[in-house]
Amino acid sequence: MKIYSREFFHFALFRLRKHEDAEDVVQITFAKAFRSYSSFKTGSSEKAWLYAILTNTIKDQIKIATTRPLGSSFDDIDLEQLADGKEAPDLVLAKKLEYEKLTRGIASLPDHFAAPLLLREVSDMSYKEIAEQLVVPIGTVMSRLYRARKVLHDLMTGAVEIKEDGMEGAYEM
Amino acid sequence: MKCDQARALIGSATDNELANAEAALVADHISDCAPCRDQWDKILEVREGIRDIRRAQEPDGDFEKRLLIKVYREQRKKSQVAFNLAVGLAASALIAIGAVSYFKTANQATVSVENLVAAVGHHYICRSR
Repeated sequence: MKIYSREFFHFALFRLRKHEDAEDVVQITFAKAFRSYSSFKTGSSEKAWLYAILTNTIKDQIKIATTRPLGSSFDDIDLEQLADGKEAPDLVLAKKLEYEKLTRGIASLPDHFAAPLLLREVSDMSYKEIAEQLVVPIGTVMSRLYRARKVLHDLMTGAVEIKEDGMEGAYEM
Repeated sequence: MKCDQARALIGSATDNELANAEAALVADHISDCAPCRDQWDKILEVREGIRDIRRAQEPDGDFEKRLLIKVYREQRKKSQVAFNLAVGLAASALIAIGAVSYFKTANQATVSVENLVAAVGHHYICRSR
């Protein structure tokens, strides 16, 4: 539990955007895992099994929250603690705004784009592992990663905006 | 390497998913091609953003401890519910068995009294003849 808890927390946080929700989801994930441990197949990947539970729990949580909290932000992104003190305050502020757009963008990604991105960037999985986890070909993982990153960069730089009716149109090649 | 070939491989190159030879070709290409280098930089900017946000959004030091306690309590609650349910079912079963035995015994007792009355009656009738 200790090995994966922080990684799972960040995975959930990028989708749910609230610390309490992310923590609840991680707790529910481990509780479900303990309850259904008999269904875990010996020899298969424990991490993959736990991720499957986590992603399903996140989906349930998103369904429960009828209005996705796109308007509310992460707990305040304290970039001052990240800045090395050499960066000018206006640059730090600009970065903070970019990162707020990035967090909103990741939360608004459809699952099939968010999952490969977070499995890569948060969980550090290889393309092969991601493909196995999501049961899709490696080529699909590559194209989804490309599109997700492109749209997120466009959001960060203000080239596109998040629409209320979703982001589906933004992923066209 | 041409731009369209490089573009198809840039994502994999930033993710260290290419063989050394291919990675070297991509690196060569982007060192001379500004648009492809721009695409490379975009991927790294998104990655850096996610990394920075993670560092800024670390859960506090008690996170694991809190999680363990919550999961333990949840498990205990579920076990308690299951235990209560089992005790309830067992108690109901015992009551049901008890009730059935009681009524069975009561029925048998009634029949015995009836038989006894009949036998005594029969005895007196026979004697009076």
